[in-house]
Amino acid sequence: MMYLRLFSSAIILFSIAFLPYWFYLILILASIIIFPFFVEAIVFGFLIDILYGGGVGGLLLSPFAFGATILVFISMPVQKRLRMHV
Amino acid sequence: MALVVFLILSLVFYFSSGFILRIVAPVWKAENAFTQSFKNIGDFFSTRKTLLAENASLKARIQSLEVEMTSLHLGEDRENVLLELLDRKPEGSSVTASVLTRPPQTPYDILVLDAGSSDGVNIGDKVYLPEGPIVGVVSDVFSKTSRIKLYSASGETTSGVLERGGVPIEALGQGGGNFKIILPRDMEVEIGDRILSADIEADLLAVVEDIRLRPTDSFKEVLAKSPTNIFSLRFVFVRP
Repeated sequence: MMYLRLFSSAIILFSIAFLPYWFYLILILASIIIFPFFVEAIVFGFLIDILYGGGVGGLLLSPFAFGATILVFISMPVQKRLRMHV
Repeated sequence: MALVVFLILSLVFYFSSGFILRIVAPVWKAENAFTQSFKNIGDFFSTRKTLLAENASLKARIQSLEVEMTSLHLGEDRENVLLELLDRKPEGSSVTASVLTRPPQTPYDILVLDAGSSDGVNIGDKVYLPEGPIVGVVSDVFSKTSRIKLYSASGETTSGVLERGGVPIEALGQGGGNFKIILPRDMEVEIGDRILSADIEADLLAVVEDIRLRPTDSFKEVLAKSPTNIFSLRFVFVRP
């Protein structure tokens, strides 16, 4: 599970740098659903905001990081009720 | 817990945004070079017949462009004389920059260029295509890179002029190089009409691609598109 998490983080990092946005957004969303407390998504959110957005400067100026935080926050109680076979 | 992580990371990333771009820029440059060389390898395997057909079509295109260019030069000379008379001749040299990333890699209509403050790029500078049309404005500048917000970015409103009739309009960015313009129902507009920037230079901003009008509406929706494919931009000019 740990290796899979690291592998998926590496894939997401690569896709943020080189692939279309819809590809890495789907990967991040899937990882938040699959892995417990996928805090890396917040880091990736900040990275997207820095590289392609208006930079980092608060909740509204970092929409991807803030969105990822909300999703991670929501996913925590939901995941307790889900059974994952990864 | 997630919010705590967000706050800590926002502090960390707030001070390191320029540093991160400086690290990633060489990687993007390498990617662009690799993509270009890969494309050249693909060209090597083209058949002779394909190359001959392409050659003939390119010759025809060059001829047509030469004619077009001559007519543009005449217009440009007239325009320069007028601007000199008005004492409004554009000043300052342009910076040529290579595009490191472009949509759809960037989720918004943002370009990252390999020229920054050390090359003379400043916030608010205008960005032009090599062929002349204006595409956006410099929104952030770092020492070796800069970030460009395209006029077609979603929600971005740009003042322009509809060339047919010289009507002032507001072009609302729709993303992906597209614009939406709302015009009164009776206003004359046709597919292929040009939208120019509202400043004195009147640069080409977009070309009308589609007109939507329902019998019950009092306004018509005009969809315009940037004259070039923003997904394949390679070089741009940055001018003050």
